[in-house]
Amino acid sequence: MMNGKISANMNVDNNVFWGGNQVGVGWNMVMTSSFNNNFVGAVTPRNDLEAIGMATLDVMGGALFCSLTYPSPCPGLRITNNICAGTVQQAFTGPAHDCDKKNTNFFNNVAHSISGGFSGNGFIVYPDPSKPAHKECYEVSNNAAYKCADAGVFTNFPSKRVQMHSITVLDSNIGAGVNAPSGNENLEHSSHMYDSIFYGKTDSPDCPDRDKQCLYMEKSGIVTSI
Amino acid sequence: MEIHPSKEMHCPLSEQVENGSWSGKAYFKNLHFKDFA
Repeated sequence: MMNGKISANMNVDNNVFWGGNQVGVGWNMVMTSSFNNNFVGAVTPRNDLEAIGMATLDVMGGALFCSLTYPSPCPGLRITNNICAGTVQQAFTGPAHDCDKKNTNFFNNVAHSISGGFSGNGFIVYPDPSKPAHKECYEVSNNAAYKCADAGVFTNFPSKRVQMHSITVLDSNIGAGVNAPSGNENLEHSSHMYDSIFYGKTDSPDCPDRDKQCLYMEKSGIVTSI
Repeated sequence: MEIHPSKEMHCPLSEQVENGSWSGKAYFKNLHFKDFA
């Protein structure tokens, strides 16, 4: 629905992106731009891609910020106060912020009702390739998700340290996937999860029509692989 | 960006490296888990 490419100084506020295939909003090689107070919803896969084996590639999602051309840097993005719902594979992809500093670039967003494709994550947050310090440490915070078929918030990128906090996730298969892969048996690395809340089951049913809409899953609060 | 690229492109999710080592550490602090079966 929106394709931002090789651009700067875009300010996208108060819009509704409803109904589309594969990618709702995609920004790549974009810098110093903001995406604030928008709604992205009802993003479905293109079924014809299944026939040529592309269905499991990560080109699907609701609002994907600089993930399809990663690690091309996108400095100066600000993604705030948005809702992404009813999308395939993942709601948001976006950059982490600096460790032990206030999150000023990717916060106050809500993802819900995410399923299909390769996963069903609310947020996939990656170390910002425009910041070399993120190879040492990157931080994820202040977003919320509910009813995701995989993790509400997910990280799994090489860095020595990942910190995740101030996250709220409800009714999702996994609350948070705070993974810290090193790729090296001898390289010190760590995963830090704190100050967050996870609800396994709320009064809102996951499968109102239990035979048609989804499968019941064994839920986990946190999954960490180091 | 091509929304439907003809060649393979990768979200960082695809950049995953193999997990699992004896040198990693995990820390959990001030977490609340409610209503898990």
